[in-house]
Amino acid sequence: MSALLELERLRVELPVEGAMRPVIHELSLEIAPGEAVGLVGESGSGKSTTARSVMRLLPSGADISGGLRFDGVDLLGLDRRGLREFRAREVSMIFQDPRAHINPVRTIGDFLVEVLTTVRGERREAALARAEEMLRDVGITDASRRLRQHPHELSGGLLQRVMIAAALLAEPRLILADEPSTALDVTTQEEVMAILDEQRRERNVAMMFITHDLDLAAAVCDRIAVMYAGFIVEEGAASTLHAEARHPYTRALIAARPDSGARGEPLRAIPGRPLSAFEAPEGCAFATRCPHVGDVCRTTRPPLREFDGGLVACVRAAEIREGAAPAQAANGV
Amino acid sequence: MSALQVGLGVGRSRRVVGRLADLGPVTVVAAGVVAMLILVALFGPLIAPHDPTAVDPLNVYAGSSSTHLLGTDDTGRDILSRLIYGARPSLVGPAFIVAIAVTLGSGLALAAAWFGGWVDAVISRALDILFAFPGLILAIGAVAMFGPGLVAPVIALAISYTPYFARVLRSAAVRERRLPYVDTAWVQGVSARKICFAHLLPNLLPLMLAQASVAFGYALLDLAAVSFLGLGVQPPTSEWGLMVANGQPAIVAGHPQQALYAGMTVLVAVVAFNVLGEGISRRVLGKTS
Amino acid sequence: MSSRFVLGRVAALAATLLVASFVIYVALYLAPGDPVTSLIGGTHASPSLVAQIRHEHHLDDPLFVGYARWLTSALHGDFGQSLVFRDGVGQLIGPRVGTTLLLVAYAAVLILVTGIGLGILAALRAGRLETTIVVGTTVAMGAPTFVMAIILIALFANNLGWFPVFGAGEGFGDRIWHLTLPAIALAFSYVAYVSQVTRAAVREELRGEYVETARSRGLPERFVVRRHVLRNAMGPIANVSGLTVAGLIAGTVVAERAFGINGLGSLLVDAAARKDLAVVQAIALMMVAAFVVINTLVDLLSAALDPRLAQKAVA
Repeated sequence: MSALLELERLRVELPVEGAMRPVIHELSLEIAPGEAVGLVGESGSGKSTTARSVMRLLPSGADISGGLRFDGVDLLGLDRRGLREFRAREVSMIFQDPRAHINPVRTIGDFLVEVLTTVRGERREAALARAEEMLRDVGITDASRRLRQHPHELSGGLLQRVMIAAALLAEPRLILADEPSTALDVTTQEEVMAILDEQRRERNVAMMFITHDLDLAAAVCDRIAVMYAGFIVEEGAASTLHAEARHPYTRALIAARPDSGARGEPLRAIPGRPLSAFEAPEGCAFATRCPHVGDVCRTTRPPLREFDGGLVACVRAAEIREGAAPAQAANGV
Repeated sequence: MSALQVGLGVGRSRRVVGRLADLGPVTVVAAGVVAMLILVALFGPLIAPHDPTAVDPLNVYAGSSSTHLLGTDDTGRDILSRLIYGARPSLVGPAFIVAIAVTLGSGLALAAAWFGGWVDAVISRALDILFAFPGLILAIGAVAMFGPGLVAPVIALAISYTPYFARVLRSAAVRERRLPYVDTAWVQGVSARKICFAHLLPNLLPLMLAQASVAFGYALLDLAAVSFLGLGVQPPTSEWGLMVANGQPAIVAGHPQQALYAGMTVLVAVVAFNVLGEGISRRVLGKTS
Repeated sequence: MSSRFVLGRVAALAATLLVASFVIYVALYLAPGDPVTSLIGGTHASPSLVAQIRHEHHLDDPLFVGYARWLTSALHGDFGQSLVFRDGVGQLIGPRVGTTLLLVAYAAVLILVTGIGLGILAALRAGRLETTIVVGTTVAMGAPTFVMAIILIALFANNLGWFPVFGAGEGFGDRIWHLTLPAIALAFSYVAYVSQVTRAAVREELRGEYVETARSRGLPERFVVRRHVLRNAMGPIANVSGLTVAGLIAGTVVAERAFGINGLGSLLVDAAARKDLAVVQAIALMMVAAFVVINTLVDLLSAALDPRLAQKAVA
């Protein structure tokens, strides 16, 4: 199966106070047509930047290198026109905060049809009719009235459904969903995720799903890549990652979830603070917080290699699986 | 304990002043110009090369020379000396406008924030009404009532500037009022007056400083306009706006020196105060761009 | 925009006007000095003559009666008699209104076109052009009308002679020609101000997350700028430009004075200098009314441009 989206040793640097700082180090990832891949990590791990790199939505001055291909087309080589076509037809992005990401002074209808009427040359009436239908598909009742309303008249959950509808209206082959449910309250989160999941599967659209929530990713994705400080540290099937986590960071993430331990047991927070990509030390990025850290971890960067049917970037993965690795006290930063 | 609290408040404003040093080159230049203007206003009589009222009928509309650096006016008076002497009335007026407006504005703001309810509502409505009077119109009205001079326009302009201070300070004071430490002090039996003056007011100081420094340039400009209209300072006192007005008829006769030099002085002063004011307020409020 | 919001604004406008008119009346009612004495001047008048004059001019009415009489007459266009100019206030004001309105409108057009244009240009074109505009407008903001007036007069009166530097002219074309320099002097610092606000507003919107959304959807940059950035910046821009145009009503006083234009502003200054309270009252009332009406229109326009404002205000 050939990949729809292909990231090959992608490296992104952003200018911060005059100096270029790496945000993503050599990231390789593939997404097949119709496949959903979760990108999981703490804030600052580079997952949002990865999605924005695919869209070529990085701030000006950003430096991006490596391979970035969609259906075989080199995205880094696209001219302005090609880039617009790509964004308008192939990929849609769903942002975290719909309240900020939908223009507040224009109507829902305007928002939904603007791409169809400007880029695709559809007639406004026809586009509005399709938009109304799409609103119903994402579970919005009273769709014709909603089209005439402004964003401030809709709840956060409804607005995120509008964003999903807008993404689907473009009939893309890939959806980039950047924490689509994080800004919503808990009950709406599930509804919105269910609708996104269902609609995506029905239309066979591939998805890059960005979240800090490993369980949520496991529920809606086929495959999961765990990111830390601008690296992918582990990648594997969503169904098995949970039970067979091999990288110490993934294990720590699982252990740190509120519902992982038995009742009454204290939460096991990961010691130290998450590093940003530019702070990553010479060796393994997680070395400063890893309970299994050895001397070799501090000096050599572990490559992402095949292990146990998945990919993991840890030189001691085998020892850890056997339970042979001595758990040392974590060296705080 | 209140001394400590006051100390904290003062410390906060001193830090603010301490940071003025790193304002950026443009603001520093503006600060230099402002400092020079203030020195001229203070020590003008010592610096001025001539008596600003000494007429010289044989030497009217003289061009620049070593004796009269900027030339002479229609009665042969030295323009430079008149500009130097004019600094005091030109700068003291705006200083009073800003001082009065800040005092009134912060008083109203504190009252509105402290009492809330109908007091707040009445003050807010009154400020709205005051907004309906453009400063210049209020100043002209004051002159119509009390006659020309510096006092009536200064008070009128101060009143018209008050709502700008009061509105911003009120919302800041309301925010500050809601902070838990105010209620704590209140429960501990600290008097309302002490809380207002020892706690709320010091915390509003940076904002007041920012607003005052921005308002000064506008006050200077408005008051000079009143003088230009002939309703402010009266001759033979020299004042920049008045000098522009008095020098205007001579322009058509080909002697623009007095009007232009006085106009340029106003321009430079206003720009310097504006730039410095913006710089200070950026610093104090921590805003960029 | 709900009719409730519009009605609320109009009611607030009426209330403000009523209170403002009362303030204007009371202030000048309480003014020190007796207009009759200054009217008669040095001549020694008998008390009965003074009383008669006071009665004729309703100067002996109690405060509220006087106010009610003054306001009702004013609403009918009758502002009473000028004691100084010895003419009806209406007769003095009438012919001058057109000149002042034309000057204000001329300056307003200059401000809106140039100010907003420069601001948008500076916001969208980073680099040298932006720096030039920012530095230029910072200096220009410090150039008050009367300073610009004498600079323009010095430039055009002697050296170039393209524009007249005195008077308002006859007929429309000639008037526009005569009012060009006054309008530039009046508009100058406001153009700078509006352009800086416009630049800031457009910059702010360019940073908006919804702009990122629009770009991510493959919309052409020109469309994004026009339909999103500029459309959203319009609210704050309209607000500030509107307030600026309202401010011209007071600023016209200086421009008229500097260029010897016989408009309402010149008359106001003359009347104030000579303590002609009836004229000052009338012109102050008209200017405050115009100022408040424009402000209300700006409020309504802002709410129309940004539906969130109307909702917030009603809620």
